[in-house]
Amino acid sequence: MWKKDDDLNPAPGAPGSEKLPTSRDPARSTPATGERAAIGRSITIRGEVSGEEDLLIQGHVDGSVNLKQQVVTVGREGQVKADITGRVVNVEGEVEGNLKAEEQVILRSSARVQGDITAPRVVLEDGANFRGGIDMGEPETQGKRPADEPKVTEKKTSEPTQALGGLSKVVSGSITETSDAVSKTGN
Amino acid sequence: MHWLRRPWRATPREAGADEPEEPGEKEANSPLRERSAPGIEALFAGLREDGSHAILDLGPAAGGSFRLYSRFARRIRFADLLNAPARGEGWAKALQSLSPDPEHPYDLVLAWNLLDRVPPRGRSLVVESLARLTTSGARLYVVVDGSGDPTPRPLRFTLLGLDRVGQQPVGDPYPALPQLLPAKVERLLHPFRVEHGFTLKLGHREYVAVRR
Repeated sequence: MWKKDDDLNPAPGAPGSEKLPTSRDPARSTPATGERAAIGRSITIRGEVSGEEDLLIQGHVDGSVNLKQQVVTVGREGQVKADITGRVVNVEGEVEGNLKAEEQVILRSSARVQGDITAPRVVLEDGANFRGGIDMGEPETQGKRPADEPKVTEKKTSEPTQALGGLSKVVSGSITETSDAVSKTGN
Repeated sequence: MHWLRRPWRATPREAGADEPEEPGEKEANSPLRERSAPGIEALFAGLREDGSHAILDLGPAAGGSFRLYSRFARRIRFADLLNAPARGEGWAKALQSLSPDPEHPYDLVLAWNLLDRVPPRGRSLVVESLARLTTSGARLYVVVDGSGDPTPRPLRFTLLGLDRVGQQPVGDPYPALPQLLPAKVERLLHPFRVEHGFTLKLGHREYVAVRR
Protein backbone atom coordinates (compact mmCIF):
# COMPACT_ATOMS: atom_id res chain seq x y z
CA MET A 1 0.00 0.00 0.00
CA TRP A 2 2.69 2.49 0.95
CA LYS A 3 4.80 3.38 -1.99
CA LYS A 4 7.84 5.50 -2.09
CA ASP A 5 7.43 8.75 -3.90
CA ASP A 6 9.72 7.77 -6.75
CA ASP A 7 7.32 5.05 -7.77
CA LEU A 8 4.40 7.43 -7.89
CA ASN A 9 5.86 10.47 -9.52
CA PRO A 10 4.48 10.87 -12.99
CA ALA A 11 6.74 11.25 -15.95
CA PRO A 12 8.13 14.71 -16.59
CA GLY A 13 5.59 16.81 -18.39
CA ALA A 14 2.67 14.73 -17.26
CA PRO A 15 -0.07 16.30 -15.12
CA GLY A 16 1.05 16.56 -11.53
CA SER A 17 4.70 16.27 -12.44
CA GLU A 18 5.60 19.69 -11.11
CA LYS A 19 7.92 19.80 -8.14
CA LEU A 20 6.27 19.53 -4.78
CA PRO A 21 7.85 20.66 -1.53
CA THR A 22 9.56 17.93 0.43
CA SER A 23 11.84 17.72 3.41
CA ARG A 24 14.67 17.21 0.97
CA ASP A 25 14.33 20.74 -0.31
CA PRO A 26 17.44 22.67 0.74
CA ALA A 27 15.32 25.57 1.94
CA ARG A 28 13.37 23.39 4.32
CA SER A 29 14.31 23.45 7.93
CA THR A 30 13.35 20.19 9.59
CA PRO A 31 15.46 17.10 9.71
CA ALA A 32 15.24 15.38 6.39
CA THR A 33 14.61 11.70 6.38
CA GLY A 34 15.03 11.40 2.66
CA GLU A 35 11.72 9.59 2.55
CA ARG A 36 8.33 10.50 1.21
CA ALA A 37 5.53 8.04 1.34
CA ALA A 38 2.54 8.23 -0.92
CA ILE A 39 -1.02 7.07 -0.93
CA GLY A 40 -1.83 6.01 -4.45
CA ARG A 41 -4.96 7.10 -6.22
CA SER A 42 -6.59 3.71 -5.87
CA ILE A 43 -6.20 3.65 -2.11
CA THR A 44 -8.87 4.60 0.42
CA ILE A 45 -7.94 5.04 4.06
CA ARG A 46 -10.39 5.52 6.89
CA GLY A 47 -8.80 6.44 10.18
CA GLU A 48 -5.78 8.29 11.44
CA VAL A 49 -2.61 8.70 9.44
CA SER A 50 0.48 9.71 11.38
CA GLY A 51 4.20 9.31 11.03
CA GLU A 52 7.58 10.90 10.59
CA GLU A 53 8.05 11.35 6.89
CA ASP A 54 6.59 13.45 4.14
CA LEU A 55 3.40 12.23 2.54
CA LEU A 56 1.82 12.60 -0.85
CA ILE A 57 -1.88 11.79 -1.01
CA GLN A 58 -3.28 10.95 -4.41
CA GLY A 59 -6.02 8.68 -3.08
CA HIS A 60 -8.86 9.02 -0.59
CA VAL A 61 -8.39 9.67 3.11
CA ASP A 62 -11.28 9.91 5.53
CA GLY A 63 -10.31 10.60 9.12
CA SER A 64 -7.26 12.60 10.11
CA VAL A 65 -3.73 13.19 8.92
CA ASN A 66 -1.24 14.11 11.61
CA LEU A 67 2.33 14.66 10.44
CA LYS A 68 3.32 17.64 12.50
CA GLN A 69 6.93 17.88 11.40
CA GLN A 70 6.47 16.88 7.78
CA VAL A 71 5.30 18.11 4.43
CA VAL A 72 1.84 16.84 3.54
CA THR A 73 0.83 17.18 -0.08
CA VAL A 74 -2.64 16.47 -1.36
CA GLY A 75 -2.08 15.83 -5.04
CA ARG A 76 -4.42 16.76 -7.84
CA GLU A 77 -6.08 13.36 -7.59
CA GLY A 78 -6.28 13.40 -3.82
CA GLN A 79 -9.61 13.58 -2.03
CA VAL A 80 -9.37 14.09 1.69
CA LYS A 81 -12.12 14.35 4.26
CA ALA A 82 -9.95 14.93 7.26
CA ASP A 83 -8.19 17.49 9.34
CA ILE A 84 -4.59 17.73 8.21
CA THR A 85 -1.71 18.76 10.44
CA GLY A 86 1.79 19.19 9.09
CA ARG A 87 4.80 21.44 9.01
CA VAL A 88 3.87 22.41 5.48
CA VAL A 89 0.52 21.50 3.96
CA ASN A 90 0.34 21.78 0.19
CA VAL A 91 -3.01 21.19 -1.50
CA GLU A 92 -3.61 20.62 -5.18
CA GLY A 93 -6.67 18.40 -4.83
CA GLU A 94 -9.80 18.33 -2.68
CA VAL A 95 -9.93 18.68 1.07
CA GLU A 96 -12.91 18.89 3.36
CA GLY A 97 -11.45 19.56 6.76
CA ASN A 98 -9.22 21.92 8.66
CA LEU A 99 -5.60 22.52 7.68
CA LYS A 100 -3.03 23.32 10.32
CA ALA A 101 0.64 23.91 9.61
CA GLU A 102 3.57 24.96 11.70
CA GLU A 103 5.11 26.85 8.81
CA GLN A 104 2.89 27.24 5.79
CA VAL A 105 -0.26 26.20 3.99
CA ILE A 106 -0.30 26.45 0.21
CA LEU A 107 -3.49 26.19 -1.82
CA ARG A 108 -2.57 25.68 -5.45
CA SER A 109 -4.77 26.90 -8.28
CA SER A 110 -6.35 23.45 -8.64
CA ALA A 111 -7.17 23.15 -4.92
CA ARG A 112 -10.72 22.79 -3.66
CA VAL A 113 -10.81 23.27 0.08
CA GLN A 114 -13.59 23.69 2.58
CA GLY A 115 -12.40 24.20 6.12
CA ASP A 116 -10.36 26.48 8.28
CA ILE A 117 -6.65 27.15 7.89
CA THR A 118 -4.29 27.84 10.75
CA ALA A 119 -0.73 28.69 9.79
CA PRO A 120 1.63 31.63 10.15
CA ARG A 121 1.92 31.83 6.38
CA VAL A 122 -0.71 31.05 3.79
CA VAL A 123 -0.47 31.11 0.01
CA LEU A 124 -3.73 31.19 -1.93
CA GLU A 125 -3.12 30.90 -5.62
CA ASP A 126 -5.48 32.46 -8.12
CA GLY A 127 -8.05 29.91 -9.16
CA ALA A 128 -8.02 28.01 -5.88
CA ASN A 129 -11.50 27.23 -4.64
CA PHE A 130 -11.58 27.88 -0.91
CA ARG A 131 -14.32 28.43 1.61
CA GLY A 132 -13.43 28.95 5.22
CA GLY A 133 -11.40 30.96 7.62
CA ILE A 134 -7.70 31.75 7.68
CA ASP A 135 -5.94 32.37 10.97
CA MET A 136 -2.34 33.47 10.63
CA GLY A 137 -1.89 34.12 14.33
CA GLU A 138 -1.21 37.28 16.15
CA PRO A 139 0.13 40.28 14.24
CA GLU A 140 3.85 40.72 14.19
CA THR A 141 5.15 43.47 16.37
CA GLN A 142 7.63 44.79 13.84
CA GLY A 143 7.22 45.31 10.13
CA LYS A 144 4.87 43.47 7.86
CA ARG A 145 5.09 40.13 6.19
CA PRO A 146 3.22 39.65 2.93
CA ALA A 147 1.56 36.29 2.76
CA ASP A 148 3.37 35.09 -0.32
CA GLU A 149 6.84 36.34 0.45
CA PRO A 150 9.35 33.49 0.65
CA LYS A 151 10.46 32.71 4.15
CA VAL A 152 13.94 31.48 4.95
CA THR A 153 14.37 29.54 8.13
CA GLU A 154 17.39 28.16 9.83
CA LYS A 155 18.01 24.47 9.65
CA LYS A 156 17.64 22.69 12.93
CA THR A 157 20.34 20.15 13.57
CA SER A 158 19.80 19.31 17.18
CA GLU A 159 17.61 16.30 16.59
CA PRO A 160 19.14 13.18 15.14
CA THR A 161 17.68 12.54 11.74
CA GLN A 162 18.00 8.81 12.09
CA ALA A 163 15.54 8.84 14.93
CA LEU A 164 12.93 10.03 12.49
CA GLY A 165 13.86 7.74 9.71
CA GLY A 166 12.18 4.67 8.42
CA LEU A 167 8.69 3.93 7.31
CA SER A 168 6.70 4.74 10.36
CA LYS A 169 3.25 5.57 9.18
CA VAL A 170 0.65 4.56 11.70
CA VAL A 171 -2.72 3.88 10.31
CA SER A 172 -5.62 2.90 12.47
CA GLY A 173 -8.94 2.00 11.01
CA SER A 174 -9.82 0.23 7.84
CA ILE A 175 -7.94 0.31 4.60
CA THR A 176 -9.72 -0.39 1.38
CA GLU A 177 -8.08 -1.03 -1.90
CA THR A 178 -10.36 -0.47 -4.80
CA SER A 179 -10.28 -2.41 -7.98
CA ASP A 180 -7.41 -0.45 -9.48
CA ALA A 181 -4.07 -1.96 -8.75
CA VAL A 182 -1.77 -0.01 -6.52
CA SER A 183 0.93 -0.20 -9.13
CA LYS A 184 -1.21 1.84 -11.45
CA THR A 185 -0.83 4.88 -9.28
CA GLY A 186 2.47 5.73 -10.78
CA ASN A 187 1.17 5.74 -14.31
CA MET B 1 -22.02 61.25 3.40
CA HIS B 2 -20.53 62.40 0.16
CA TRP B 3 -21.17 61.19 -3.34
CA LEU B 4 -18.50 60.97 -5.93
CA ARG B 5 -18.90 59.90 -9.48
CA ARG B 6 -16.07 57.89 -10.94
CA PRO B 7 -15.70 56.58 -14.46
CA TRP B 8 -16.29 52.92 -15.09
CA ARG B 9 -13.20 51.56 -16.70
CA ALA B 10 -14.26 48.26 -18.12
CA THR B 11 -11.16 46.90 -19.72
CA PRO B 12 -10.91 43.38 -21.00
CA ARG B 13 -8.36 41.43 -19.06
CA GLU B 14 -6.12 38.74 -20.34
CA ALA B 15 -7.19 35.21 -19.61
CA GLY B 16 -5.32 33.83 -16.70
CA ALA B 17 -5.10 34.85 -13.13
CA ASP B 18 -8.55 34.35 -11.77
CA GLU B 19 -10.10 32.22 -14.40
CA PRO B 20 -10.80 28.68 -13.32
CA GLU B 21 -8.62 26.03 -14.77
CA GLU B 22 -11.20 23.33 -15.02
CA PRO B 23 -12.58 23.12 -18.52
CA GLY B 24 -16.29 23.28 -19.03
CA GLU B 25 -17.03 25.75 -16.31
CA LYS B 26 -19.15 28.59 -17.59
CA GLU B 27 -16.97 31.29 -16.15
CA ALA B 28 -14.08 30.17 -18.33
CA ASN B 29 -15.63 32.13 -21.20
CA SER B 30 -16.66 35.14 -19.18
CA PRO B 31 -14.22 38.00 -19.25
CA LEU B 32 -13.03 39.56 -16.05
CA ARG B 33 -14.02 43.20 -16.11
CA GLU B 34 -11.83 45.61 -14.27
CA ARG B 35 -13.28 48.76 -12.83
CA SER B 36 -12.33 51.50 -10.48
CA ALA B 37 -13.52 50.96 -6.94
CA PRO B 38 -13.62 54.16 -4.90
CA GLY B 39 -15.63 52.27 -2.31
CA ILE B 40 -12.77 49.84 -1.74
CA GLU B 41 -10.41 52.77 -1.45
CA ALA B 42 -12.68 54.27 1.20
CA LEU B 43 -13.04 50.94 2.96
CA PHE B 44 -9.32 50.58 3.55
CA ALA B 45 -8.55 54.27 3.95
CA GLY B 46 -6.57 55.05 7.05
CA LEU B 47 -6.16 51.45 8.16
CA ARG B 48 -2.78 50.36 9.44
CA GLU B 49 -1.09 47.55 7.61
CA ASP B 50 -0.17 45.78 10.82
CA GLY B 51 -2.31 42.68 10.56
CA SER B 52 -4.50 43.77 13.43
CA HIS B 53 -7.77 43.64 11.52
CA ALA B 54 -10.17 40.77 10.93
CA ILE B 55 -11.81 40.57 7.52
CA LEU B 56 -14.98 38.80 6.44
CA ASP B 57 -15.45 38.40 2.69
CA LEU B 58 -18.90 37.09 1.78
CA GLY B 59 -17.75 36.23 -1.71
CA PRO B 60 -15.71 33.29 -2.92
CA ALA B 61 -12.00 33.26 -2.22
CA ALA B 62 -9.72 35.03 -4.66
CA GLY B 63 -5.97 35.05 -4.59
CA GLY B 64 -5.72 38.74 -5.38
CA SER B 65 -8.12 39.65 -2.61
CA PHE B 66 -6.29 37.47 -0.12
CA ARG B 67 -2.95 39.03 -0.93
CA LEU B 68 -4.40 42.44 -0.27
CA TYR B 69 -6.26 41.40 2.86
CA SER B 70 -3.15 39.84 4.35
CA ARG B 71 -1.54 43.26 4.46
CA PHE B 72 -4.16 44.33 6.95
CA ALA B 73 -5.39 41.21 8.69
CA ARG B 74 -4.16 37.96 10.17
CA ARG B 75 -7.69 36.60 10.36
CA ILE B 76 -9.64 36.37 7.16
CA ARG B 77 -12.75 34.43 6.26
CA PHE B 78 -14.12 33.72 2.82
CA ALA B 79 -17.71 32.75 3.49
CA ASP B 80 -18.79 32.48 -0.14
CA LEU B 81 -22.40 33.28 0.62
CA LEU B 82 -22.83 34.55 -2.91
CA ASN B 83 -22.75 30.97 -4.16
CA ALA B 84 -25.06 29.58 -1.51
CA PRO B 85 -27.92 29.03 -4.00
CA ALA B 86 -25.60 27.17 -6.35
CA ARG B 87 -24.68 24.86 -3.48
CA GLY B 88 -28.33 24.29 -2.71
CA GLU B 89 -28.13 26.14 0.58
CA GLY B 90 -30.79 28.57 1.66
CA TRP B 91 -29.71 32.05 2.61
CA ALA B 92 -30.74 31.57 6.22
CA LYS B 93 -28.71 28.38 6.54
CA ALA B 94 -25.71 30.01 4.91
CA LEU B 95 -25.91 32.91 7.32
CA GLN B 96 -26.18 30.58 10.28
CA SER B 97 -22.91 28.98 9.26
CA LEU B 98 -21.18 32.21 10.21
CA SER B 99 -20.53 32.01 13.89
CA PRO B 100 -19.29 35.02 15.82
CA ASP B 101 -15.88 34.99 17.41
CA PRO B 102 -16.10 37.12 20.56
CA GLU B 103 -12.31 37.36 20.80
CA HIS B 104 -11.82 38.43 17.21
CA PRO B 105 -14.93 40.10 15.82
CA TYR B 106 -14.65 41.26 12.26
CA ASP B 107 -13.97 44.91 11.66
CA LEU B 108 -14.03 44.80 7.86
CA VAL B 109 -16.80 43.12 5.89
CA LEU B 110 -17.09 42.90 2.13
CA ALA B 111 -20.65 41.93 1.32
CA TRP B 112 -20.27 42.70 -2.39
CA ASN B 113 -23.69 42.48 -4.07
CA LEU B 114 -25.25 40.08 -1.59
CA LEU B 115 -28.20 42.38 -0.96
CA ASP B 116 -29.07 42.20 -4.65
CA ARG B 117 -29.18 38.43 -4.44
CA VAL B 118 -31.15 37.91 -1.24
CA PRO B 119 -34.95 38.21 -1.49
CA PRO B 120 -36.30 41.38 0.15
CA ARG B 121 -37.65 39.52 3.16
CA GLY B 122 -34.21 38.16 3.99
CA ARG B 123 -32.18 41.32 3.55
CA SER B 124 -32.66 42.58 7.07
CA LEU B 125 -31.60 39.15 8.31
CA VAL B 126 -28.34 39.55 6.41
CA VAL B 127 -27.63 42.88 8.03
CA GLU B 128 -28.59 41.58 11.46
CA SER B 129 -26.18 38.70 11.01
CA LEU B 130 -23.39 41.01 9.96
CA ALA B 131 -24.04 43.22 12.98
CA ARG B 132 -23.76 40.14 15.19
CA LEU B 133 -20.40 39.23 13.69
CA THR B 134 -18.78 42.63 13.81
CA THR B 135 -17.41 45.01 16.36
CA SER B 136 -18.49 48.58 16.91
CA GLY B 137 -16.86 50.75 14.29
CA ALA B 138 -16.63 47.93 11.78
CA ARG B 139 -16.70 48.95 8.12
CA LEU B 140 -19.06 47.32 5.63
CA TYR B 141 -18.67 47.44 1.86
CA VAL B 142 -21.72 46.84 -0.32
CA VAL B 143 -22.32 47.02 -4.07
CA VAL B 144 -25.81 47.53 -5.47
CA ASP B 145 -26.64 46.87 -9.08
CA GLY B 146 -28.67 49.70 -10.50
CA SER B 147 -28.24 48.68 -14.11
CA GLY B 148 -31.75 47.33 -14.45
CA ASP B 149 -30.53 44.13 -16.06
CA PRO B 150 -33.56 41.78 -15.89
CA THR B 151 -31.43 38.64 -15.87
CA PRO B 152 -28.17 39.38 -14.13
CA ARG B 153 -25.59 36.68 -13.61
CA PRO B 154 -23.82 36.00 -10.32
CA LEU B 155 -20.53 37.83 -10.11
CA ARG B 156 -17.18 36.80 -8.74
CA PHE B 157 -15.24 39.73 -7.33
CA THR B 158 -11.48 40.02 -7.01
CA LEU B 159 -9.54 42.89 -5.55
CA LEU B 160 -6.88 43.96 -8.01
CA GLY B 161 -5.64 46.78 -5.84
CA LEU B 162 -6.82 49.19 -3.21
CA ASP B 163 -8.92 51.03 -5.78
CA ARG B 164 -9.49 48.38 -8.44
CA VAL B 165 -11.93 45.50 -8.60
CA GLY B 166 -12.27 42.73 -11.13
CA GLN B 167 -15.70 41.23 -11.56
CA GLN B 168 -16.51 38.19 -13.59
CA PRO B 169 -19.93 36.70 -14.36
CA VAL B 170 -20.17 33.10 -13.24
CA GLY B 171 -23.00 30.63 -13.31
CA ASP B 172 -26.52 30.89 -14.62
CA PRO B 173 -28.57 34.08 -14.79
CA TYR B 174 -31.13 34.64 -12.07
CA PRO B 175 -34.29 36.76 -12.06
CA ALA B 176 -33.55 40.26 -10.92
CA LEU B 177 -35.16 41.34 -7.68
CA PRO B 178 -36.70 44.79 -7.21
CA GLN B 179 -33.97 47.40 -7.32
CA LEU B 180 -32.63 48.80 -4.10
CA LEU B 181 -32.92 52.57 -4.17
CA PRO B 182 -30.40 54.67 -2.24
CA ALA B 183 -32.73 55.67 0.57
CA LYS B 184 -33.80 52.07 0.99
CA VAL B 185 -30.21 50.94 1.24
CA GLU B 186 -29.44 53.41 3.97
CA ARG B 187 -32.44 52.24 5.98
CA LEU B 188 -31.70 48.61 5.33
CA LEU B 189 -28.10 48.82 6.53
CA HIS B 190 -29.03 49.95 10.04
CA PRO B 191 -27.17 49.61 12.51
CA PHE B 192 -24.49 50.34 9.93
CA ARG B 193 -24.46 53.98 8.95
CA VAL B 194 -23.58 54.85 5.36
CA GLU B 195 -20.56 57.12 5.33
CA HIS B 196 -19.58 56.96 1.66
CA GLY B 197 -21.59 56.31 -1.45
CA PHE B 198 -20.29 56.19 -5.00
CA THR B 199 -22.27 55.96 -8.19
CA LEU B 200 -20.41 54.20 -10.96
CA LYS B 201 -21.06 54.00 -14.62
CA LEU B 202 -23.92 51.68 -15.62
CA GLY B 203 -25.70 52.56 -12.41
CA HIS B 204 -23.76 50.44 -9.97
CA ARG B 205 -23.43 51.95 -6.53
CA GLU B 206 -20.83 51.30 -3.86
CA TYR B 207 -21.45 51.95 -0.20
CA VAL B 208 -19.17 52.00 2.80
CA ALA B 209 -21.03 51.94 6.06
CA VAL B 210 -19.79 51.95 9.63
CA ARG B 211 -21.38 50.00 12.46
CA ARG B 212 -22.58 52.17 15.29
